[in-house]
Amino acid sequence: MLRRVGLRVLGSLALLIVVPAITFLIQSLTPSNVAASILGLGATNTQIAALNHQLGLDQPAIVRYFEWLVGSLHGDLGNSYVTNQAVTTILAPRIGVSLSLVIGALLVFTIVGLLLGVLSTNQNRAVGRIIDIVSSAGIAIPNFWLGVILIGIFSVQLNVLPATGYVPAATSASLWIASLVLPVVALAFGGITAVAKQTRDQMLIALDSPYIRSLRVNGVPDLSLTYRHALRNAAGPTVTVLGLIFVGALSGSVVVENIFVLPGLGSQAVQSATQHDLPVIQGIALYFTIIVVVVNVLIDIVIPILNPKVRAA
Amino acid sequence: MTNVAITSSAADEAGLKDGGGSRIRTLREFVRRPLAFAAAIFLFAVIIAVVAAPIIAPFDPLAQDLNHTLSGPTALHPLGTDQLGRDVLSRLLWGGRTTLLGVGEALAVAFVVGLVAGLITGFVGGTTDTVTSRIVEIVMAIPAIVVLLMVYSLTNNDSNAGMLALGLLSVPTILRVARGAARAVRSETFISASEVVGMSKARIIRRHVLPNIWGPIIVNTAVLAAVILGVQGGLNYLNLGVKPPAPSWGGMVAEAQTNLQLQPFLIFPSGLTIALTIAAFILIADGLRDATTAARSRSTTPQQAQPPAPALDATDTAHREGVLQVQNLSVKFGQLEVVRRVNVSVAKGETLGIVGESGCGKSVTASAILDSLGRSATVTGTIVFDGKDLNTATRKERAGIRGSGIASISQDPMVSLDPSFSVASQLKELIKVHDHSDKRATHARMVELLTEVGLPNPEAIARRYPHELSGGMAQRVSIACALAGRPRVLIADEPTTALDVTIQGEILSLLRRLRDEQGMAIVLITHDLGVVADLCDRVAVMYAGEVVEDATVEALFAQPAHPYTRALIDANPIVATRGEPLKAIPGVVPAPADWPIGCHFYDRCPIATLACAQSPIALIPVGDGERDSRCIHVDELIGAK
Amino acid sequence: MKSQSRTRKLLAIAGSASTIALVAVALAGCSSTSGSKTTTLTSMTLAAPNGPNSLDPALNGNGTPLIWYTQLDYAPLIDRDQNGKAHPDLATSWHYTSDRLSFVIELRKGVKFSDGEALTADSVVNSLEYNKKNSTFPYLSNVSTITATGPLEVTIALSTPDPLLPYGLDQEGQEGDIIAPEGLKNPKLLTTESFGAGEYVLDTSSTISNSAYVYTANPKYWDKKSVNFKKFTIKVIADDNSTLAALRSGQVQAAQINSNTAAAGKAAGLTLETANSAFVGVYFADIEGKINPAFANVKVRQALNLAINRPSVTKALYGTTATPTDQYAAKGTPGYVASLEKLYAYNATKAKALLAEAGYANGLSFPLLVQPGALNQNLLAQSMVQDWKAIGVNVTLTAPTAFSDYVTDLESGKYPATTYNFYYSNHLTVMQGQFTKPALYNFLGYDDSKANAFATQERSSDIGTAANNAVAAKFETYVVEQALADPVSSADTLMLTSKTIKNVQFSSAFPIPDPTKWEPAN
Repeated sequence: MLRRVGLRVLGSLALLIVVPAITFLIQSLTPSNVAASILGLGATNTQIAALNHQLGLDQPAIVRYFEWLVGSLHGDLGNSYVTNQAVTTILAPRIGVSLSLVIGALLVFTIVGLLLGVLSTNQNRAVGRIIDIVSSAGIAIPNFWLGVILIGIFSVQLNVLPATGYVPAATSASLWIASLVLPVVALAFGGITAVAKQTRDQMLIALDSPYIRSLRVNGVPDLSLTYRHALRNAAGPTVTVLGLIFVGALSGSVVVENIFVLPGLGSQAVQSATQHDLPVIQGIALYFTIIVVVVNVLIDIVIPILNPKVRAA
Repeated sequence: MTNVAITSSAADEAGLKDGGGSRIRTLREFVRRPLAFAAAIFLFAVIIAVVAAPIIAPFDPLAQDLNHTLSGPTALHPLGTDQLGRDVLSRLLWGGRTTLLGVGEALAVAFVVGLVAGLITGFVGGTTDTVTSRIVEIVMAIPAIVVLLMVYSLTNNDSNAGMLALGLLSVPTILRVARGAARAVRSETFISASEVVGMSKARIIRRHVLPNIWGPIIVNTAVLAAVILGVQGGLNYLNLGVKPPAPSWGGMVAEAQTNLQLQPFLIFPSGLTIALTIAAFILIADGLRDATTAARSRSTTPQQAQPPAPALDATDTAHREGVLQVQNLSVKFGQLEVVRRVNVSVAKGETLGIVGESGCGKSVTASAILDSLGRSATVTGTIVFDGKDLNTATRKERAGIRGSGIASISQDPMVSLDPSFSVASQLKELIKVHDHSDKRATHARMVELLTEVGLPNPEAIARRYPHELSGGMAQRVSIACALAGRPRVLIADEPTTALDVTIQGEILSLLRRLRDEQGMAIVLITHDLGVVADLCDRVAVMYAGEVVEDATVEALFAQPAHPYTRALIDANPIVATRGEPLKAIPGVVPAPADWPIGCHFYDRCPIATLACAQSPIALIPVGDGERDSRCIHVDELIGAK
Repeated sequence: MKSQSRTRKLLAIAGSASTIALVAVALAGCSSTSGSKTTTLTSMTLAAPNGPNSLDPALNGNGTPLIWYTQLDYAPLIDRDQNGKAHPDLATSWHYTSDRLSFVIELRKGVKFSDGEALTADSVVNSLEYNKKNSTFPYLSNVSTITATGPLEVTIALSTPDPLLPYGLDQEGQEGDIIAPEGLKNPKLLTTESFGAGEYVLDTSSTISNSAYVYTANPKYWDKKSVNFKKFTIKVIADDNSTLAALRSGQVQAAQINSNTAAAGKAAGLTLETANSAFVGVYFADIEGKINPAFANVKVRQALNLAINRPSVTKALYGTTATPTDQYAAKGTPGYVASLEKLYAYNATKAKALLAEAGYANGLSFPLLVQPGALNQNLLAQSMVQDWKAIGVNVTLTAPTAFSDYVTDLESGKYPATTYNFYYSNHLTVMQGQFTKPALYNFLGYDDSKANAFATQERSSDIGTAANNAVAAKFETYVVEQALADPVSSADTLMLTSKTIKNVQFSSAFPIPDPTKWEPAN
């Protein structure tokens, strides 16, 4: 298993090199006027050229890419073009916010999705069908629409949950959770469907299997068949899919952070994209990729626990 | 943005191997599903509506009415107006054009690139395949939004560039399906044959791969459409990919949000349109997937109602005592009867063999006894065990005898054991269910059972997982599982068919030993007369859903009392004469839909007369009364030598 | 089956338990965020729709909310009150010499920067030099030399008379924001830390870029008793709905909002402070007709003005928080000429006639660039396009989202006109920002000799004097009659505040809400 995990990490290194390369490539295809953005309307051409030079923007993209790559190995991701702060400084306080959001969503859609998926295989066809339809609703409702509606109901009308802002866990655990409830719900909604559907599919396959029949015929009660045997066998393929769903959730977090004004990586990404603040976008792309890699590694560790056939050798 | 994983489900994969059903059958199945059909109609209506926007939109989408801004629904503006007094309905219609066009662009890119690349790499294999797989993995791990943000900001909000990028990022979904199909087909032998004959790869792909592929591809494309619409909506919401004043669905949601305090209604037309369209795509995909599976499975063409067996048939006077007594057992699936009025029984310490060809109903009979047929089956008759009729017993009572009264082992031991749990785990669970014993007692009993079935090193074997066992070991473990409840009847359905001949003998010895040592009654279902001769005391021969003969093993082999039994014995290669053609039985077993009124064996019987075909034949005791036969010419057989 | 119903029961219990937990958490969160009303506020939070362009006062922008980020920690030489009247700050007195070619400033004694360094004439000179070199504001563009002419005296020499220095050196002009020598030594640090002599100091450890900027009271400030809060936080909240919720829940005590939220804010019991602060409209850059000769024709420009139904557009875009206008000064301020308001009263027929007279009976078309950012310029552009369409003028819109793209587009020479907004300020600044050569918005570099002449004349007397006001009025009349641009609405800056703070007012004469002046209500 160690070898498997090791291979995955190595493969991910390729990711960490390729993704920034892609962003540099895209950026090199279109010249941008970052200096003008910083200096505003009244800037003279001299001032703009000077700032461009100061930021190193007059160098070709390849050179800048390699400089960036080398710097990243030392933990230096460059400085923001706009505020001149180190990218790592700008992004550091935001990582916790984004992680709280996406890991929270991961937990919610995994647990709720699994639950709904299992419940939808209920003997009672009507109940199963209803749950199936309800979980299908999750994917149909766009998370940005859901977010706005949630704000409208909970914050504007009912004034129950805070509409904005994030309270770090260190400050107050209850406020932290309160500030995350609506965003996590908005983000997890679609993922719940995906997990529920996958779980349901796999559960139906499992429940149809000869071993379930054998166990049942020899006396194992239905409850154990569903929640112990079928679920255990269904969990493996479902977890495999979690990684993919998680990447989708990471994308979704960008929109959700914007709606709920969470100071995470996602909201910074939109802003920096608008300002053509490339180093910050690079940094965010890198951090996102790292998060994806870590989650995939964790999934790789979990799968052999669930699926004995994959273990060892 | 919605986040959904596109997974190629087992149904897709099965479809790829099988060669997925005719298109018409699939379409018919699709139409039968109300939700999916309604979704298709809805989507169609939406597409027509937005295409026809220039004609049907009541207002120009840019026409402002500054005196009626932010109105709710009115007669003039059924969906209200926005901040500049523009008609929301018209903006939805016109906005749909750009929105759906964008979705179409991305979809087309993903479809074309994915299909072509997938087919090529799947078919060609080798390094191309490996490299492509790595690339696909990388693409799937990229959080798409970051790339899209960059593309939009650097192309100054060019929606075409954005949709192109989105399409490229979605290629893996389609590529995997295409690749899977190409690979599946590539390994088929008829492809090698085609290659030998000289068919070009392109032609092979076109003729053999593409027809198999369209089902899963369309399903995945539909789901992809849903995802792309959601992503694009989110981007438009963030003001990316829209060039004002042109309306877009996602942009309208953002506009509604800025006016949330003044006119909350606005949030609904735009959001609901997106949500319903996405839902439509998903429902269509689901419906298509279900329809493809349904079309592929054996079509249950509606049967004419079979004439009820006339009351005459009640003269099945065969009746035996035993620990398990099955009488007049009939099994119907819907209108179709597959097992008719079976009478068998097995006594304590006795081994009953049920013999017949595939499709004669022997497994269904066993399943009926075990209550594992599912809801689609109607079971009539009595199954008496321990003085109680199981067929009319409560669910609790039935559950109570599972494993402790009647247990079962089946054909393929490798799939009868739960692959995710160790032998110890499964066996101990069964032991605890029946014995409610504590940890130590359970462990001891487990060792006892594993020893009993002849496994050396029971502790070591118990720690293993099913995939780590050989066929013979797995079957022994299955038997141990069946024995955990100390059943009085063991139903063994083809227990040796999947095993090597050498192992077969061992398993049969084991069964014999269990019968002798513990007095267990065994019902052995098999198509192999040799196994019957080896192990059974009594035999019931089934043909086309009925028991045609019931006798002791000696009597049966010495003098079969039914033409079918006779033919079976004669057809066994072991008794064949060298140099002469094998005596196969001409004709085929009639399917349940085609059972004649009279004797089911009529078409193939060498001694059949017209009388045989005219009315149902009863199963009656014959000879010395210790055997039964369903043949009106039985005298000829028993008399004949 | 019994086990199934047991499962259902268990799940139901689990479900209700978690719901109860959720509600409990929400209520806990809710109750701890509502502020107490009885004790005096020692710290306050201000919500801003976006973060600063830079924390370096030379590189930050003007107008709210940008100016707040540097207003709190940098002190200007001259301070203006809510009505625009000048008061001493780091400078105690100032005057122009009689030839109007020098401006002499006397500095306050005993002022220290937040790092303890003393404020001297030399440090002020260095700071002014830095601002002159790096700032994109034009206030020091006519300055030839800056010298320390005494330990606490600085003399600014001008190449040509320029009455704007007292405005450039106030907290709105920002060129008089004095930066400590430590900051000037290493300007890169200016983007992350404070090096000022203002009421507050930036707390870098608590500050999260683009999210929350935390300032703590500066113990070394020269007028300690005027520092009203121990801690001042600016929170970036981009969406008005969220801002309103934050105000209602007490997370935030003041916020700048858009017009759509005004009514709801008042309904929620908050105080709304407003004043006309900026005008918004379309700027014609192509007065010389290089891109489209139509713009060189005054009748065409007048037609474009007449075609706009200002009252309708204003109401639709801003509700009651803006007034229609066709000129460049706010009512009641120098340069405002009441009679000019009727000049371009909505008259589509007359507009068409004028177009025909100019030789454009068949209409014309041109591309319009839309400025990203403030005041709904997107919606404004769309409604103006509609009005122009009615007189046969077809306008295509280009609306870049990034400001840098907007600047690129401006300089591309493809656009004869752009939407814009312009903060009210003294009249000369507003004029010199648009109609002279050079001017901030004059990106095609047209040279209108009459406008330039008016500007020179307005520069020759002190601002606020009767003579200066008279010139202003004449200048205003000229530019409006010449239809050099097309202003549409005079929009308010809207501040919603909770009742726990006071003194947030501002006026058109000085439309910058100044957070250093706000105080707790009791």
